Amino acid sequence: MRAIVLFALCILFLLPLYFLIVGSFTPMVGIMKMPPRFIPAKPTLENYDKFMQYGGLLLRWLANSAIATIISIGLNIIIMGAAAYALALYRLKPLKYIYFAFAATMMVSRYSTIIPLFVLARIYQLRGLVAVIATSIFIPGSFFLMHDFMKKIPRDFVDSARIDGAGEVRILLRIMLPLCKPVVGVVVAIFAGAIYSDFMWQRLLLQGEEQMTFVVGIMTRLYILSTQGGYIHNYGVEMASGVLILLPMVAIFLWSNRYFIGGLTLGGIKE
Amino acid sequence: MKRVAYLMALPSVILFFLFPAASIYLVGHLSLFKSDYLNYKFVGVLNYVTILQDAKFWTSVLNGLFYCAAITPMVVIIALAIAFLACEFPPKIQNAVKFALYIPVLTAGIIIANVWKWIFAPTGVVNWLIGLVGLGPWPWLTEATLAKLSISITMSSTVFGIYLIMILASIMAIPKQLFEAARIDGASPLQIKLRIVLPIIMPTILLIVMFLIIQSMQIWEFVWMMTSGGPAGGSATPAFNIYETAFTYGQYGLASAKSLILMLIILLVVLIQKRIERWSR
Repeated sequence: MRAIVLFALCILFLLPLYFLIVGSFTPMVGIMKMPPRFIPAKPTLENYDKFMQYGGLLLRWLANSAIATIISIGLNIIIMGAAAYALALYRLKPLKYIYFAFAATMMVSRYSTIIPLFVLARIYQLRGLVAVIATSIFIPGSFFLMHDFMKKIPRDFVDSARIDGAGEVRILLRIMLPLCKPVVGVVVAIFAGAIYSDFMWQRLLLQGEEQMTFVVGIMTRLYILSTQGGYIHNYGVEMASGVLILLPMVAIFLWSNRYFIGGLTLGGIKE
Repeated sequence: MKRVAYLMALPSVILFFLFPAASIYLVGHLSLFKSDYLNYKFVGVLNYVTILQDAKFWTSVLNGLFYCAAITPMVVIIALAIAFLACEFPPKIQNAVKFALYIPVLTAGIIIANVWKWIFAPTGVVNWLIGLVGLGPWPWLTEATLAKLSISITMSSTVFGIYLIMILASIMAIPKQLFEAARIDGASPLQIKLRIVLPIIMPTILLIVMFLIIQSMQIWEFVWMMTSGGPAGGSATPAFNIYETAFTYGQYGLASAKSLILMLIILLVVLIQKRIERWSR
């Protein structure tokens, strides 16, 4: 009995996503027919056609998103990981300040800094994708996840390697890096999706169509569609845009899935 | 060896000064200027005086509190109920539940918003459901209170998974002997949950309440996609109001002053939470 209730609750929470997918394949005339159908009556691709017309540009946006997300998360892991490593391994007094400074930035609301950040991007002459990448690298959350993890690695590993005459670089590459694979997986799982889908911030930086990321491009296209003549609120098209945006996230998710369940307890917070 | 450590920390410190630190300084600096897109004029504290009379901003702060008051009980009670239900199952099933409920958390807000807009549409699912019992249709997205309620429900459904995981983790961390002892003393399962488990996980719940207050002030995607802040700013959050002030009206200075106020509100919430945590120990 309890198992059934639990199962039903899980289904209930996943139902909106299911309806998103069904709705995206439903023609405009059918989508507002109640009760909602679990299988579209006359499945159609017309909602997707609205976006597929863009063809090449769609691929361009996808490539832009891949570039921005991979470079941002890669640099994040290298730069924040290096700092986490320095703090966890060499317990030097001055480095403690880094910990507090980064912790303080976590307390600052994201929306309190978008305006200065936007102005800063202009001051530093950062444009387009470069601006997106530069402003997405510094994620204190990823620093703390990695720092917490590295702190727990027994120091004997490192000490014995040192006695054996291994250099610092060797210790980093041969011992610490392989050990840290799980936490890197978790960081990617949590933050790559967040960078990819950061519509609020990216739409400010990306103006030209050529430069847009996938999410910004699709959303802009959706906006153009909704203002075109004769176009009444078409939920099917909106849901199709949702599914399109979702697909790359699924890819990220599947890739990082194996690290994920362990990581859920490691870092409960997305942002 | 020391030099290696400093060298490794250096890039992140440079980034820290280039972006977060610089932007915190700049938000204070900009708040003293009047700006029309990028023409700045020094006006001192005038922006703060303007904010005092800015009804739309204060409505958005109140809306933030409304969201918090609606979302917190919804999320905490349901998460507690599911956690209590799930904690008696083997870890494999627990993980499956966590996994299923974490999917909406991972899914970007702009995706989720599309489907909830359809659910709350004038002839949508909710109005059909309440129609079955002879009510409605109600204007779920176009009346201020109902719009806030719709957005609260949407928001709850997406943040719910994280908090379930936090609550479940803190329940599982309680030593099993405690339950055994209580059971031997004749406590019923419900008593154990309410009298023993609940007080132990209270710090976690307080932490969750803090996160929810902070998140409520900063709902953006759902407001943007579902109501555009309407009707007449009736569902806007402070975050949405700041965004609008800056990027729709180009008043960076005024928006920076609002940003600073939002920053202080959130800092206050964090400090209060820390104080309660210390006090309850």
